[in-house]
Amino acid sequence: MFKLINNEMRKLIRRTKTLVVFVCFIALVGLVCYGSYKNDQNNQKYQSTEYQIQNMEESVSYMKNDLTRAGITEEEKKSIEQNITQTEEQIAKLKAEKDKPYDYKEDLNNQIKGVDAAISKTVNEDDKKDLQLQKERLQKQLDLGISPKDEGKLNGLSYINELVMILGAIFLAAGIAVFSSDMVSGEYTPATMKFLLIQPVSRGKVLFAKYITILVSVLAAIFSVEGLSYLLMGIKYGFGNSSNPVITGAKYMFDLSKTENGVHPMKVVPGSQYLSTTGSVTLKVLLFQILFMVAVVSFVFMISTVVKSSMVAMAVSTIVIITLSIVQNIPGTSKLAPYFFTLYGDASGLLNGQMAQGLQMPKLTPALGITVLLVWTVVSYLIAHVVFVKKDILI
Amino acid sequence: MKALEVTDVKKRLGKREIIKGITFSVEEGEVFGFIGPNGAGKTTTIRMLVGLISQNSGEIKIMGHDIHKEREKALTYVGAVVENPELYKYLSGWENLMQIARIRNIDKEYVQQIVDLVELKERINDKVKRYSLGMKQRLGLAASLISKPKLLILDEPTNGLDPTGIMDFREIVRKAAKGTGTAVFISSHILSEIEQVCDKVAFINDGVIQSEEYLNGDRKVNKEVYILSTLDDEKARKVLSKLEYVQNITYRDGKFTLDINSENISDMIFKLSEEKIPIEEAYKKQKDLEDRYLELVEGGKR
Repeated sequence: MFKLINNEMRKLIRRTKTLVVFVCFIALVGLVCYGSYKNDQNNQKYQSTEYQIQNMEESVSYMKNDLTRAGITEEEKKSIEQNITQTEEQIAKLKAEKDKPYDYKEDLNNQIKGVDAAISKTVNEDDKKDLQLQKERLQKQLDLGISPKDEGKLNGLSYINELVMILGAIFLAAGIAVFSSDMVSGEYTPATMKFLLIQPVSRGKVLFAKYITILVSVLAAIFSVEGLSYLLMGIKYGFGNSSNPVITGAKYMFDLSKTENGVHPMKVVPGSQYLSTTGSVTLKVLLFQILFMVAVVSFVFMISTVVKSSMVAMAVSTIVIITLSIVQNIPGTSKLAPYFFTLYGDASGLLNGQMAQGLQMPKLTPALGITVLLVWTVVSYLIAHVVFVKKDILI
Repeated sequence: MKALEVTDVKKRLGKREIIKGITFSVEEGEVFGFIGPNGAGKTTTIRMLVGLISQNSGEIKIMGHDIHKEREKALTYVGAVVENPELYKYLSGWENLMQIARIRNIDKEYVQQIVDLVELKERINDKVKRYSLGMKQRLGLAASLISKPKLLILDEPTNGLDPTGIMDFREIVRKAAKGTGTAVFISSHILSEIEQVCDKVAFINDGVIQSEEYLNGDRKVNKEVYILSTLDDEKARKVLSKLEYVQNITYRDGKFTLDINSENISDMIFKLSEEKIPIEEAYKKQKDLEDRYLELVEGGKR
């Protein structure tokens, strides 16, 4: 078995396509790095006190101009003047804050006070629980000495989460389709499969060796690039505090007591949310990504085995993946979406409940995701195996 | 022992019956020629022999092991090239051979020996996509020999080989058969190549074996067709017509064509020389198999 895998690895590495796809993937990840960096720069700019002050001053001068407009009514004048004084007050406040050094403890304490006030006002027990959880989170941040201001900043952890989300949308599945589609079908034209199948090893073993090879290569290639880019971003922007508390695990249900636009709105299942850390969430996202990649590889591998030409295999698997990705977003057909493996590329959305909320599907839980991906994996491999072992090799 | 035993094998592809029940066997150390025109079922038969496709009925045994029931065991005895030797173009010749060597636990020294045998030593580290057709054939032959086969199956092995290559190839096949007792199964439509190296030939057409016959040995007492040209044709005709063992003398384009037993040839030449007839040319016409081929395979069609 090991010898077969060794053989397959050698073949895979020496294919030109392997290198091309790998370089393309590196380029894509590089682009995401650049995007994160630009995005972070913009965010910092918009959130900086100077920028806010500058913006407000601009609107004050615009409003002052407006006052001198011909044919302005007294009422309008009054409201504009009121606006100007308000904005100027804010500017003064910001300017005062600007010189004062930012104290995260004070900020967190203020926020906790706010939540406390909200708790005392709330009657609903479920809402109270949610608020309690928020308070707990703030308290933990205070204990750990994590500044809320740093939370939104770019760091290794926030980058890797963003990368997984962007890749999961379509790139990962499409890339795997291109990369793996000729694992078996590539040996039909030219017909090197003959060469392989007249050796004294069972066809089942040959297929399994190919499967393990492509699986290991895909996982290794993707994780090595992801890991390397994480390291680079981490070194440049800091790795981020992996023990930063976050609220996650929201499950949703239809709120039958209300009706909005003719349907029941979704609400969080009371008590489903819990406190976790960014590190733990990221780890889960990455583990889920593995499961997703295994399912995609298995599916593409099955197509590659069933179809006789590598071009057709590539076309079919890419088209299926793109079609599923589109169909899952069409309102009429999105009911089927939970059963498509393509949906689960965005692991973070599934794990924090945003996906269930966005698609209005309470049943979209991580457990369902894991089940669907495993079923795709097993069924795909079984089909590939049965077809390959029985097939007449007429090439 | 029978290296290969095929019993009443039939194969349908779609609705068409490609192989309509063939039976033959190859002994150890025997070279078996499998002759037939394109589309006769040669390659389909070979595919079944190596288990690439499965027959609808009948039995194929290699060294006593059924190719379906004991596929791996049967294949350990087989080295084969099916159709064109399609090897991994993006790998070097050496790596192609090592792929098999790894599966079959063959050491590098032996692979090197085989490379030397097929004379690919200098180009073995080049990628196969830079090989000529003849070099690919040699590499294919090497790939089939690497398994130290008891049954060597070669499908149109001389395609793309130059005359030296063909001679080398024959030498390798002879060595394998007589030296190591390997049974060799060669398919071809190039008859003269088969004839020189085979002990036995089978003619296949339309999925049926039309005839199976032994070559060599008894062929010598058979009648040969001889071509003779002299500088004194009149005198030669007189001499030849007096010889009892010379039959069916025809004269065309300044050449005699005659039937003669091979044992009498030297006597005939001697008689001609006694009469001082200058002999310009005298040779055996290589026609046996060609004629048998046309007779059996194309038969009534012409």
